[in-house]
Amino acid sequence: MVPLLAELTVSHYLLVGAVLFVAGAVCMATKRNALGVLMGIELVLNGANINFVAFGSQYLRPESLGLDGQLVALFVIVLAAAEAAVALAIALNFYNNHTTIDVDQADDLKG
Amino acid sequence: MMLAAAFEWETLFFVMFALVACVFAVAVVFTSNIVRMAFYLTLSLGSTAGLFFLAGAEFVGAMQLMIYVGGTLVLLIFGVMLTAQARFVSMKTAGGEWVLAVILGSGLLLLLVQAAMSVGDWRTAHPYPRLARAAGQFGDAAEGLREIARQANEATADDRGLNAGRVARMSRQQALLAAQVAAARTEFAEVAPSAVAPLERAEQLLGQVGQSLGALGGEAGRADRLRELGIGASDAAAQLAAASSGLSSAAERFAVPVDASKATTQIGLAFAGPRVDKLQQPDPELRRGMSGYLLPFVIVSVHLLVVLVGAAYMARTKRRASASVR
Repeated sequence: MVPLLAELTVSHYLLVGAVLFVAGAVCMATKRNALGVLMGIELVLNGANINFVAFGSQYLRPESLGLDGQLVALFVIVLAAAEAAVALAIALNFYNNHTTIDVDQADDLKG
Repeated sequence: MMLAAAFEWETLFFVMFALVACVFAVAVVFTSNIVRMAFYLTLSLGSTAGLFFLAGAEFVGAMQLMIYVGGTLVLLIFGVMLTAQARFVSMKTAGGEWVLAVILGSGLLLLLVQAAMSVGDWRTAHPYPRLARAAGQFGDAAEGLREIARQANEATADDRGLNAGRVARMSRQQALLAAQVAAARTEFAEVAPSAVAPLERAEQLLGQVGQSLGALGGEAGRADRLRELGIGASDAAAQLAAASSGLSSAAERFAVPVDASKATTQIGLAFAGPRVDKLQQPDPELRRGMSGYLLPFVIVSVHLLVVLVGAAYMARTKRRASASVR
């Protein structure tokens, strides 16, 4: 039997979470557009969320985190919304002051 | 119909959603067009909501769609539109940075995959479907053995024997069943201890049935061999029925109760204070930590409010500052 088509386990979810996390981290590191960096942060938070939900699911493991996993995932979603609002305000401020959105240009603090 | 039985449907949907989520997450990294990145991110986060639904977290999945895809991403797309001048739409990254990022990223991915696959408990599926399936299987097998016993007893009573073809068919059935029982005995040793003893006994009895069948093929001592076969088969049927009920009671223990599967009410109550999902927690130390999520909920709500007011303030003051500079 093809292992991917066997029954679902926590590991399946962890693998997807790992791919999203790494994609987000690489996105944060390589994008020059400030909004691209923000999108990378969203991906990282989402990858972590997948792990929380997987460990909280009672259908994947008899001994699960229970509701804790789902509730932490909800808090992460709300924090991601807050973080996006603030980061967007900063990015727009930066854009207005420097007329660019390239994060490499933000070197005013360089000595 | 055969194909439908061969697939695990949850897994098929999981693979579908997981592929969409991963492929578009990687596409976000490798496209340099900011508008496309926003669109790919929408698809990736949307299919992540599908994964949440599959894990039984339907409330979190709905919130993912409403807050993340409906709110946060719309905010990001606003940002993209406000800054999307022609020279910022597509910003290329230097080649050397790509090489470094891909090397570091694949190293991190290898580490995480290794971690995800390294714990045996995470790699084993929930025992309920396997237990329920095995219980049904051995129930059917007990029926089959009773049929064999009935035929053997009839043949003894009529004193005419069984024909060779029927004996061969019974032997095949017996061999298949013995293999299944032996596999089940090791597989369910931990999760269903009450079924182990009947399964062991059934394995022995099935061995005797096999010997009787083999002797019947060789025509030796027909009448007493047939009687032996009948007794052995009906004893084995009784043991298999006991194993089946042991397995189904173990499956009952692992089953998720229907009212526990509706998590939304429990989440609402946990936000208000009481935790109703683990009322039977025996450990008093752990029970003290079960006071619900009222405090974090309030903290996060106030934090969100402060952050939104702050964001609005930042967006307002900058215009005055830039006006005064000019």
